[in-house]
Amino acid sequence: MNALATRLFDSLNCAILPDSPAVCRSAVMHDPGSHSALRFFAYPDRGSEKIMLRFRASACPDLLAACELTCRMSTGSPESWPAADDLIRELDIPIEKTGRILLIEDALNDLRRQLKSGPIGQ
Amino acid sequence: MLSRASRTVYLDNAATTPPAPEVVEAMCAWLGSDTLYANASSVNHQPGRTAAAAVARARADIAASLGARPDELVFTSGATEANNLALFGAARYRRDEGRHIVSVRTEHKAVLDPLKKLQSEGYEVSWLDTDASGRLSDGALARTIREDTILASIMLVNNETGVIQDIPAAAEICQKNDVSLHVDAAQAYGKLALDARRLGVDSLSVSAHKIYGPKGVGALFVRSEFAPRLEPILYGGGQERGLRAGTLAGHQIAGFQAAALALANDSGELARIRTLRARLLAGLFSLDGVCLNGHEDYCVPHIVNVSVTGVHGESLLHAMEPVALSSGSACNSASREPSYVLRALGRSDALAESSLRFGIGRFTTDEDIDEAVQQFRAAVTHLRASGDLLEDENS
Repeated sequence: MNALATRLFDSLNCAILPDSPAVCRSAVMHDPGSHSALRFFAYPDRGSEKIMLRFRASACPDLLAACELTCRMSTGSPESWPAADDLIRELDIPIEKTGRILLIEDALNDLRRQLKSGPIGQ
Repeated sequence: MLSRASRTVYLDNAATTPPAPEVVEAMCAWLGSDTLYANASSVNHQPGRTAAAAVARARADIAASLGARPDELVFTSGATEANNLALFGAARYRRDEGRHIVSVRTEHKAVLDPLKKLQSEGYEVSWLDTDASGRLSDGALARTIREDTILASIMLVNNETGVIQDIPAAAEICQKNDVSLHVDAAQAYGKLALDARRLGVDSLSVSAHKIYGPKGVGALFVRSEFAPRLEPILYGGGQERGLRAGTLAGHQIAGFQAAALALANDSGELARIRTLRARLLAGLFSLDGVCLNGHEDYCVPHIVNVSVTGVHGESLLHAMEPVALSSGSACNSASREPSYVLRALGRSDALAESSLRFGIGRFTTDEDIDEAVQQFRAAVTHLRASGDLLEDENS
């Protein structure tokens, strides 16, 4: 793991969910082969139109770091959510693990679909 | 936020032990000597005779540590080679009497792989199961031996779980049925009082680096009555009574000797290790969802193997990184294979993968144990907190 990935793995601040969360959307993905499971949550950011992204995951260190980075790169709208390629490049994800990073992209796409069907809170 | 230990704590003594100071001293003395460099087989000149005498003294000391006679010891490059010699040597010598071999699913790869090779050469291997604690099931060996069984291989102490098998009972069954018995004792050496002759085995393998000796040297005990029934696997200069060709590595053997002699002087060591084990177990089990892999009573105190629920194995090992230990998974570049030993004990893939093996050793301190426990608690808490709520419905 590169230094950034190690720092993110040691932090996992974005796995801390807000207290008494308001209405949110979430998307779950599993990969039984690598014993990976992750869940992304989209919360309305209080007092703004922005969406706050958080996660929970049981996965290898690279995937956990990628989940953390995804949330940190998000600036409040689905358009800012990173693509798998960005995560792979930033974290130097080993080639044999790039497949599982796609779980994040799948979860984010699911969230995008949910958000399109109606804004959070409606 | 995961806080990592500020120093590395070495708790992988089941994988290998650091060389003891007296071992380093003995090896350096040999390498720096004016005469000991001579070939111990060149007894036609004085330096050769000096080297041969030093090797003979080392052989006697190492044999004594195993309850063997000096002429029953064959020096090898380690336990892996010793296992290969014992298994191929016995199976090939007895090929005309039968081709059936019995072993256990939880053996080390250094036994499993030679036996798989023998399978490819036309031998049949029956793999015995263990119970959930890793002990051989009662009567399993006797039930499996057939008319054409020529060889059994059973490890004394399991390298992953520390579980001790009942070798005297197995030896009695093998003797009754004229089955050669080989025992991999790499993890037992220095942890149990070994008396190879009293155990009743035909051959027994050990390695120096498991007892604070150097890597690259080990030995096969071959009971004197059994030696004629062993075919060599290396041919050359006829060293080691024709059973293992190759010039003896005197400096390695000197280090091995120093390590073996130190075993005789560590009478209080076992009690100290037991105390450290109790301290470690108390710390590990202070968290919920931690289970012991192995037997609570039939085990060496040096090895503690636990599985942890609710965490990903690879992440657990990574979060524990300041503590040098082993996981229950064999890593390769693409995936992690759950331990076949723990799977054989009935553990799920997830539990086998989230296992950790702590190996306590001579240089382990109370502070090392406390540091490891603290890191373990921090790692498990960190990972469980980030993996919670995965199965909840959308809120």
